[in-house]
Amino acid sequence: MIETTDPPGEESRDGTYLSSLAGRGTPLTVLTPMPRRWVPLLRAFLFIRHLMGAPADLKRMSFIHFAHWSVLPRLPGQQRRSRYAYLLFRSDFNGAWGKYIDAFSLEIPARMALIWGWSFGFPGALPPEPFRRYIAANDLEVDHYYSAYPGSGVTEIAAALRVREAYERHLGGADPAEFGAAWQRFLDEAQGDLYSWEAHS
Amino acid sequence: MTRVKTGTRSVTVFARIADGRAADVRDRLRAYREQSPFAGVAGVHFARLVVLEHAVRQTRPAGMSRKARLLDLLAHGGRPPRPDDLPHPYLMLTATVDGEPADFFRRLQSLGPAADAIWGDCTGYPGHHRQESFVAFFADRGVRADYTFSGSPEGTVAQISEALRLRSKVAAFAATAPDDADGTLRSRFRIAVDLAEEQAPEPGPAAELELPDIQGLVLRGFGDHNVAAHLFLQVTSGAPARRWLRTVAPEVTSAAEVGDRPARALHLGISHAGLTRLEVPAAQLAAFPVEFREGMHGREEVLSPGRGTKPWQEPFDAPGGVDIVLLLSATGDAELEPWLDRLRTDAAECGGLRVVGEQRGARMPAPEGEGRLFIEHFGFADGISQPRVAGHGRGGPGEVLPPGEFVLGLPDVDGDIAGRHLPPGLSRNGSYLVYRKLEQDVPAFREMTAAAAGRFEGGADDVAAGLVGRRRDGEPLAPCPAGAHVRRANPRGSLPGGRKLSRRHLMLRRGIPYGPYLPPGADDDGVERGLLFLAVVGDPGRQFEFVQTEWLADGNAFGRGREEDVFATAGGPGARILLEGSPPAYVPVPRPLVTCRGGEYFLLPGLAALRGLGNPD
Repeated sequence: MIETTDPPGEESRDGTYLSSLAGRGTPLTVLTPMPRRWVPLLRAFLFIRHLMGAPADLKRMSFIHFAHWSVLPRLPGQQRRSRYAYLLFRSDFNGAWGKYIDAFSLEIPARMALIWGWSFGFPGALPPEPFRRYIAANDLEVDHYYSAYPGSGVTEIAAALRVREAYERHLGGADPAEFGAAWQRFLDEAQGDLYSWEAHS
Repeated sequence: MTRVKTGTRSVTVFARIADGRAADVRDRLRAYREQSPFAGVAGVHFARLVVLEHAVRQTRPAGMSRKARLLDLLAHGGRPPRPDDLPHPYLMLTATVDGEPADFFRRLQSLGPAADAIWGDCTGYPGHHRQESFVAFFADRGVRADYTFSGSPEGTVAQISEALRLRSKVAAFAATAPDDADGTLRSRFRIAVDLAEEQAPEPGPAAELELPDIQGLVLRGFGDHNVAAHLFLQVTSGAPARRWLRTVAPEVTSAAEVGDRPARALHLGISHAGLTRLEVPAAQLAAFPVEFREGMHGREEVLSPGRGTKPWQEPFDAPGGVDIVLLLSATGDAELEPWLDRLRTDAAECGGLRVVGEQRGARMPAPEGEGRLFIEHFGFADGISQPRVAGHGRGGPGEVLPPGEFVLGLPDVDGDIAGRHLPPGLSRNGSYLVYRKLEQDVPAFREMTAAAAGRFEGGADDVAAGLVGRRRDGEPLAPCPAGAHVRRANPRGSLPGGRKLSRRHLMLRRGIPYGPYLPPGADDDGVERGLLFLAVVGDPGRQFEFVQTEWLADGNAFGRGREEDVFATAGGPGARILLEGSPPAYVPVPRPLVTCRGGEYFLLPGLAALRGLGNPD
């Protein structure tokens, strides 16, 4: 049992701090204690993953903007060593992460176990429900959150960058007299990315 | 810290919070709920701040699967966790940013006082003023990411934001304007998409504006108001004029109302002479800047070199000729006329005012603009690139500026408070209005461009475009000719000092043409026409007079010697404009194209200040 005087209560995770940013960016911040003896092993595993580059299966799950893991044997400026090392995970998701964390459990349970398996309280990656509760219980309350594009998910960003590229290629230097034809070519190519669901129009 | 393939970096900083301060830090962070200070820091994809007081309590999970039990046995020998906690509270910043963490920390300095509010209770925090120690504070407390996964496609914040805006505009255009049957697809496209993309706005810290106290003209140009009438008044007796002010003040349109797109609007400006005659105490009058105190009449010798106020008309033909201006605008004459009649009568009968003039204005829609673009008398689309007040008028093109550039009492572009020395009761939430009546000689303009047309493939239109720097529909020339009007009115990054300096001299232009349009090919009808140039600024000297004298009335800054901008100053007869090309062309100016017929600097007081002026004592 960890000694705490004022543990964060469940009521603090009602998500109200996101009210003004209700959009597609959701933070997840998880800090879990782990025995120090596993620090080198976990670091080595993360380093190998780093060398391997972004895994295709995670890329396919197009709801993660960014995810970062850090192993912290000691926090900056800490005088007295704490008993355990800590694993810090922070991520920016589209929408509610709770719906997606199941996908991690189901798609990459072994990797989840290799990352969080050293932390106390880890219930195993499968079945998904206990793992989801474990992450939820450890998700730190964010006091301030900022997203530069709160209304846009990962796939919309990818679509926008494709449109930008096609726009420059077809229309950037188009001869004014040829604009109509160039516009058609642009439309043919980019139409899949030109959805225009405007609630206000 | 780990380099990620996309060029983004993970930054995490743990700053120790001084004992007993954690709750205060949290309260201050929560106060940023509506408006994130990180919106003003470039290159931040995501950022979060967490006050970490304790580690989350852990227990050994019950009912683990066989595999999980095995792992627990391996990792912890099957033992439950023992007590542990953080040694002291931390403020954790974690962000995903473009470029190196050290560069991000330097950019973080632009948070200014907000940085002090966030980290001020952290031990060792040096304040935001000295860059070296500020950056070191964060660098010393950073932890690296051992592994980063990026699901987002490669791109900086600026690239992603710009692409998202472009996609949304292009898609909306594709949905509503599918074919080119009438051959206007391109110009429609340019208006819907390109014009807005010319300059991606930089996110600036959004301002908390007291909209109900600010005159509406500051935040909106009322593009749907097709007609305008300006009533010029002189104060003949202070007390009754103040009583009248009290009755008219409630009719003045506030910025809180403009979102509802009212069919008519009233704004009220008072000159320095007017404030004097309304018996504002001398000590308050003396606090105003010299441009406003002297009035435009006294400044014109410099604003229009070589010409001064000689061509000025009534009621501007003497210093202090206009004390108060009522600016009425409406969607049409039916809305405007009865209201104007009443306001004119009220003013004339109040016993303290004399109506000394009246000026009409009307918009001229561009043929290809679908009612969204307006032209001025020379035939060019007008009002295209306007600066914006940070946090207001989302999504438009143009430089985003802090509110003090246009509203007194708020932070300006230099980090100062606009109108710091002014009497607060009178100036709070006010703005300056630069009013200039500029007559345009359309036949002279057409003669001039036609005379030089032979040298250009596109004839007179090419000459005109070269002089203005845009085509008639607003499309900018690339590259923009060095001495072109649009470049001289706003050089953006083209002068030494770049945008950092040029953005100190931008105005909100609220002008409207007057007089009838002279169709192309029509003979000189001898009718007066032109532009009522209206600009809203927070500093008439730095914003209006600087541009008028340094950039428009003199060519030195642009390497053009004494060459004047013929669209804003005297210019001619006998003057020649150099149009660079191969070979270069000289365009002779037969006679002045634009002549100032009068003008004044007015204060557009905040509505509370206006009511205060109306008080009897």
